[in-house]
Parts: sequence; C-alpha cells; structure tokens
Amino acid sequence: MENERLDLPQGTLDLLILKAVALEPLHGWAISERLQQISNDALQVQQGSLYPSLHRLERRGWVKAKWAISENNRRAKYYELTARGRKQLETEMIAWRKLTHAIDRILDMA
Amino acid sequence: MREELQYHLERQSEKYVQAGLPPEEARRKARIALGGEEQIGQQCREARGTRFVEDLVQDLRYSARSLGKNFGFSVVVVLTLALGIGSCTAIFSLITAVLFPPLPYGDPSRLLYLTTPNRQLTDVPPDAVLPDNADFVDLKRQSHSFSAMTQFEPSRYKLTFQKAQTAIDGARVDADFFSTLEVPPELGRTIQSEDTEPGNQQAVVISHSLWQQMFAGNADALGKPLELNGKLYRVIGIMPQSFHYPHKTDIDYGPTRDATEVWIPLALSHKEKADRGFGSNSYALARLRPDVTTKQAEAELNTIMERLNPLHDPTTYVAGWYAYVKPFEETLEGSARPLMLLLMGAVSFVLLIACGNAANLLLARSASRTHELGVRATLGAGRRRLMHQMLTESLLLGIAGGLAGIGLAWVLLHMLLRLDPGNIPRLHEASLNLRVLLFTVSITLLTSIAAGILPALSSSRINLVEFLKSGGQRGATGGNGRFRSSLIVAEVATVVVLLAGAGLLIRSYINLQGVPTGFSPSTLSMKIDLPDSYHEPAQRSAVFRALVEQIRSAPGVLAAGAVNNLPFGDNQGVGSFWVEGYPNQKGQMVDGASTTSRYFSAMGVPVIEGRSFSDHDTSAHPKEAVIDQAFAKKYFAGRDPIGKHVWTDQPDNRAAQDKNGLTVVGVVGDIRDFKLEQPASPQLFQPLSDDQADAYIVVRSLLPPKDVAAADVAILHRIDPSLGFTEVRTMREVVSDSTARRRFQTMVLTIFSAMAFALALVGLYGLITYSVRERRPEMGVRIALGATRGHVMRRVVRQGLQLVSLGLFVGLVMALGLTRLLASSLYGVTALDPVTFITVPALLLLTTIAACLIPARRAANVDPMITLRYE
Repeated sequence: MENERLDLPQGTLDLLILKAVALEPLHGWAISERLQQISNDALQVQQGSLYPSLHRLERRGWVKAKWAISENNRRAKYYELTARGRKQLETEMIAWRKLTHAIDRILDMA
Repeated sequence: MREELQYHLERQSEKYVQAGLPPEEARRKARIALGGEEQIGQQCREARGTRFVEDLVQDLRYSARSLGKNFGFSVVVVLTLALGIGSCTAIFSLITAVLFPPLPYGDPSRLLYLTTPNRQLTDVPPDAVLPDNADFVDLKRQSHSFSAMTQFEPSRYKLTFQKAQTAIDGARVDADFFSTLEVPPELGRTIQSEDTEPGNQQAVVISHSLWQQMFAGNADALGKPLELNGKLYRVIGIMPQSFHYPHKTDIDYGPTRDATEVWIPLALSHKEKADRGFGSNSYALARLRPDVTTKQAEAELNTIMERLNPLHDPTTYVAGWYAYVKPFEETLEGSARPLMLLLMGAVSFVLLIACGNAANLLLARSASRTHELGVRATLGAGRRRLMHQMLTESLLLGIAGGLAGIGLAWVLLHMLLRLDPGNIPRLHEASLNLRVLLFTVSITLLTSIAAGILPALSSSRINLVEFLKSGGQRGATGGNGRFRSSLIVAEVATVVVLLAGAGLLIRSYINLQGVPTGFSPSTLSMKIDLPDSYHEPAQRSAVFRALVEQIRSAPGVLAAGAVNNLPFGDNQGVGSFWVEGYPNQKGQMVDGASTTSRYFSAMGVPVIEGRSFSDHDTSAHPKEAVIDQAFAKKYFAGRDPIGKHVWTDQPDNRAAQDKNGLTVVGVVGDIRDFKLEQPASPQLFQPLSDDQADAYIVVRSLLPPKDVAAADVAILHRIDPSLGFTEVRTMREVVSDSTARRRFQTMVLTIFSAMAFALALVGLYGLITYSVRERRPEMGVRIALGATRGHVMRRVVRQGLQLVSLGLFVGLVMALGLTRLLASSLYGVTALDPVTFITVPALLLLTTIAACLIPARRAANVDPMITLRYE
C-alpha cells in the first residue's frame, strides 16, 4: 500500500488542512493521521511539510492556534478554522471542483 | 515550535510501538517519517516571517567577519567616515550652543533691549545710548506693549571674602529684573521693590557658582553677610546653575569681563530718577506682550519719545531723541549667524566628500568580491538577501565611523574652543550633549545608507549563467567606473570652492596684519583701578603722579604715559566739539581720549607738528589739545592748526566758550582706534587729569615686556601693596584680541578645507590605483606591443589630470559665484581675487600629478608576460 501513495499536487495541502480542521480543532499529528485515514492511505503527505503549511495558514488568519491538553494528557498545539478560513475553504473547494471538472472533460475526449 | 514537533514525534513513535516495533526502532522511524527538524523549523519560521531578525543577526556576523578579514579596507572607510561625521558633530555642537541655546529666559525672542539714541549723534551707534532714568520711567509708565520692563547697571565689584579681595562682575538691578527674565531663584528670593527702599538696600542675590565657592552649597548661606566694595550685604537668594546674566557677550559697551555673579538693588534717588541728561549707565530690557510685534512696540515707544523730547535740556543737546530696540539675542559684532552658517556649509562639504570616498571604496571592494557573491547567489541567496547583507556591512562601517567620529568630535571641539575669540555668544557652552549626539546618530545612519546603497544595488545584480560559465570570473559587478569617476569630479569641485574661500580669508587676514595701527606694538599697557578708599582727589593725584614718575625712571624705560581709554578697547571716548573757523554742525561728535604728555611717545606715535602736552599742572593753566592728522585734514584743511582753538561742547553754548576752550599745540600721527579694517578717524586728545580713579598706563622699554611688567608691579606695591594691575598686555596683544573672531573664522575654514582636500586626494589616489589594477591586462598588451614606460605613465597621469581638470572647471565656476557670500569678511582682496583663483588650481594640479605618480609607476612596471598569461 505504501508504494502506491500518490504525490500531492502543489498547493492542495492547504485545502486539505482547512477541510480537516473544518469540523473540529485538531493538533498537527491528528491532522496528519486523519488525512491518511480518510484518503484510505492513498495520499503521500510528507509529514514535515504539514507544519510549514499550518504556520502559513495561521499567519494568513485562516486558522487559529491554541495550546491545550491532548487526549494523552500532554500539551499540544490545536488548530481551529476561523471565519475567514471557512470562507477561504469554500472558495478553494469551488475552484478545485471547477479545475478537476475541466481536466476530466479534456481527458474524457477522445 | 520544538515542543510541537516533539509531540508529533512522540505520537508517531507510540503508533509504531503499538504496531509492534521496539521503542528504539519506533523512534527512528518516526523521525524519518517527519523529516529534518531543523529544516521544518526554518520553513515554519519563514512561513511566519520571523526570518527578518534571524537574517539580520546572520548578516551582522557575516559582515563582521568579512570586514575583519579586510582589516585595512575597513579601517580606511571607518576613518574616512569618522572624519566627516566628527567634524560635522563638532560644528553642530557649536551651532546649537550659539544659535539655538537652551536659554532659560522664558521665550528669549520676546526680549528687547531699549535705547534712546539721538539723530544728531551720527558717530555714536544707536544701541550705545542707554536711556536716561527719567525717560525710562516715562517709557515704562506710558507704554502698553510690554509685560515687563527692567533697568540694570552692570559694574565691577571688589568682593572681600576670607581676607582676600577679588574682582567680580555684578549688576545693580531693579525689582523687575528677575521677573522680566522669567528666571526664578533656586533658593531664597530675588530683589523686590522693598529692597530698593532707601535705608534697606543690603540685599544681594548670588550666582550658583559663587554659592558653591563661598558657602560650599550650604542652604544656610541665606542671610549670611557678603562684602562688596567695602559695604556689607546680606544674601537673600541664590540663582540656578549657569544663570550669569549679563555675560560679557550679552551686552555691548559694558564693563562686564566675564559672567555676573552678584545682583544688588538698583536704588535711584528722586533726583536721579528725574535725570534727563545724556543717558545713564543702566541698560533697559523689556519683554513684549504676546500679541505685540517688535515693530509695533518700537512705533509706540517712538510716539512716547516724541512727547518726551521737549523735556530734554535744549541748551546742551538738540532734539532728535528717538527710541531704538534691539533683539536680546544679538550682540556687538552683530549676529554670529553668518559665521555659523559658513562653518556649517564648509563642514557639510567635508561630510559629503567623506561619504563619496566611502561609497567609492565600497564600490571598488564590491567589484573584487565577484567570486564570493557569485557563490552565494548560486547557493540560493536572492537579490534582496544579498542587498541586505551589503547594506548591513555599510551600516556596520558607518556605526564604527560614527563612534570614532564622536571621539574625533570631542578632540576637535576642544581645539576649537581654545580658539574661542571671546565675542561669540555662548560659544564656550558648546558640548557633546544629548541634542548633538542625536544629530550624530542621524547623520551616521544617513551616511551609511548613502555610501552603501549603490554598492549594494550594483553588486547584488549577478548573472548566474555568466558566473558559472566563466568559472567564477565574470557575471558579477563591474561598470561602476563612470559613477566613481563622477564622484571624484564632484569632490574636486567641492574642494575647489572650499580652498578658494579659505584662500580669500587667509589673504584678508594677512593683509590685515600689515595694516599700520599708528602705534608701536611692543608697548606694554596695564590698567590701574583705584578703589573707593581713595575718595579724595588729592590722594588719587598723589598716587598717580608717583606711579607714572617712578615707572618712567625705571631702568630701560624710554617713555611712559597714561590714557583713559586704550585704542581697540571696549570703550570709546566720544564727545561733542566744535572747531574755530570751521563750518561746524550742531551735534557733531569726535572720537578721542585724555592722555598724559608722554603718552604719544610711549605709544610710538610720532608728533608731526608742534608738540605734545606740557607737563604743567593741568588744572591751572590754559587747556591744551592735541589732534591727529585725520582731524587736521578734515577740520583744518589748508590751515595751520597750531594755536587754533577747539571747544569740547556745543557751538551755541556761549557760557561754555571760555571754560571748554582748548588750544591746539600739536598734531600727531593717526591711530586706529576701533577696528583694523576701519581707517583712522579724526581724534581729539585732551590732557588727562591726574586724579583719575582708573586709567591705562603705557610703557615703552628696551626690556622685554614681562620684565617691565614685573618691575612696574613692584613699583605699585611700594606705593600701595593692596593695589594691582589688570589687563597687562602688549599693544600687539590688544590688537590681536580685536581680530580674534576673524582669526577664528579663517582658521576653522582652513582646517576644514585642508581636511576636504586631503580626503579628495586620497579618493583620487584610490580611484587611479584601482583603475590601474583593473587595466593591467590592457597595460600588458600595450607594453608587449612596444609602448614605452614613459608612455604608460603619462597615460595614467593624464587620466587623473582629466578628472581633476573637469572638477576644477566645475568648482571654479561655483566658486566664482559663491565667494561673494564672503564679501563682508574680505579685506584688501576682492571676491574674485586672481591670486587665489590661480593658486588653488595650480595647487590641485600639482598634487594630482604627485598622487598619480605611484600608480603610474606601478602601471609602467607591469610585466606583459605575467598579465597575458593570467588573462
């Protein structure tokens, strides 16, 4: 299963992170696990690239970070979607859908 | 950050452990899965934007190391900047002290001096006629333009303290003095109206420094006694530190030598208050109401004076009294503003040249860092990053230059203060205070950026492809040559302007030195003041006559005399007069002095016609007068003055005709009295009565001045051991004191011109040297093709001369326009003086050739084999 992991297209990591924290605040490791779970392990998410993205999203104001006690009784940094982030998520989802539909149509030709 | 990643690693390891891996293995796998912590950390930080601070720190370290490796270069740049920044700082501290002093007098721009000159008294400056007491009282009562007005009379007092006597400056002040100046006392109180009541005038206010000296700063000084001129006073108040109004430079024509230390009540009797004669010895100072302008106030005062004019005694002086106001901040020599602005202009030029040199040095260096910068660019440094780094370097150099500059400024300031001519107000208060240091910081920053911006811009432009292809040789900086050359041209032009100005001032000063004063410079002069204990005229006569006799008979003495006012002194003896057989005008005035018979001989002034005064007892015999040649030429044109009569009074005062009649007995050579720059004015000399309270003794001797002074002091002590001479100077020193300000101006401008000149030469030398180094291959080719050494050398020197000639041309054009700003300071030379304007270019061209010789020889010694192979 590990060899078949797809490489994540550039720029889509942000979109996935925003979606992942849309339901509830998660810490970095939880986000990584969830992305792997939901995609049925199909996505190759370099764990290291997760954190720079998270920090970038935080600087842009799309997620908000907070330290809290995690499920194993240790401190962890939780990321939560902000109102602006929610709007950005919608925008990006629409853009993504449009893009993939367009590409699908081209590939379906012939 | 770290904690976050740690947590991640822990959870991942746990996952692997649960999956069955041993803990060690689990941890290793987790770490691999995550990736490099450092890298993640850096990426996160970059995403966050804290990169800036880290980059800065890295830049600083790198710059420090890089500059340290090129120590010679760094030192030169730092010194260059230090020179520019230091000079500017020193001059700025002078300027803030003189032009923008932190005066404690409320808003000093609202303070005005009031005088009441007379239109008929054309020879007397309007600000010299202090108001009569009665005029002052009336002006004060009738005007509405002022919120406060005060009268004060500066004087010298003998302070007796712990059995010793010292002379100090003091002032008699009325009850409004301190409130007009808006300075509250530090301790106690100031002079109030009750202190001016008759019989209650023992109050004295003392200065902070006197308080420290006499009472060691103890608060119990209040109420303690103080003896001035033999009278007892009681201390009622102490002024704050550095309050010493009036300073010598605050008032004109006054007796103040230095700074006022004591203030006692000015109590005028009713008779004195009603005096409306020829002015008083009291200065009038007033503070304008906030809504009144100076012009309005002056107009109102003049209206009042018109009403007061008829009240003046018409038999002694004519009508024509009017009011004149002068701003508080101007003094005798006029405002020091032009001088300060000149200095600031000159020193800004120095800074600009220093900045230009620093920029040139940085540009040159950046060109030789091709390799290093190319490598960094290849490794991923963006253009902005490289620029930041270069700017950081120039900032470091600038800060080092600024610090060194402060040190240099301290030295310069002390040097300049030693040249203090004494008549620039508050110059001695200049120091490196907070305001000055803030100025230093700002120009340091500006200079660093100005010098570093161009090298930063040009050197960060790196063509990577070229760089890699040529193996690290090309693709980076170059092509700054034209800019660097134009910088040098600009520097040379600036130097030309400065040198021209300095040259003109130097020539003026030398011309002035050659001006004949009319008297012998080696004559020794000294002042004697007889204290109040000599209140009988007979006592004073006795002392005076004995003194002069004994000094005259001392060994080595050729002649000795006395006078009431020395030439070039602070006092002018001006009086009204009229001449027999001359169309006299009402109110005409003439300069003059009262002298003993052998005064002229002692001063080395020749007697052209007739003789000097006779030695008879002057009170008994017909009065004699001696005139100078200028007087004879003007008032006795074509006639023989000897035997004619002159009166020292108004023409229409019949009663005075016999009393003040003088017979001219001699004509002496002209003596310059006021300024060297002014030709001698007509002077009328009268005999000095020997019951003077103070006079100047002048002695011409074969012995050196020091011995003469010592001998004369001994003579004085034999007569009265408590007496002493003051102002012991040769006439040369007296004259020199009067040209002190000109000397200051000339020397400072010369110093800065020399600095600028040296800097420009160094810059030129650097440019030529660098250019030679760059063109080594070309030189090699030329030599290989048969060019002679001389030919190559001439090419190099020609390059330098071309640059300098262009700069010369621009500079001369600028100088021709700018030197007229100096016109008022010039003497004996015009603003377009040919000598100066030929010497300066010649000097520049010669030194350019000299400066280019070394690089020229180096160019000529190039071995073509080596250069061609190297290429």
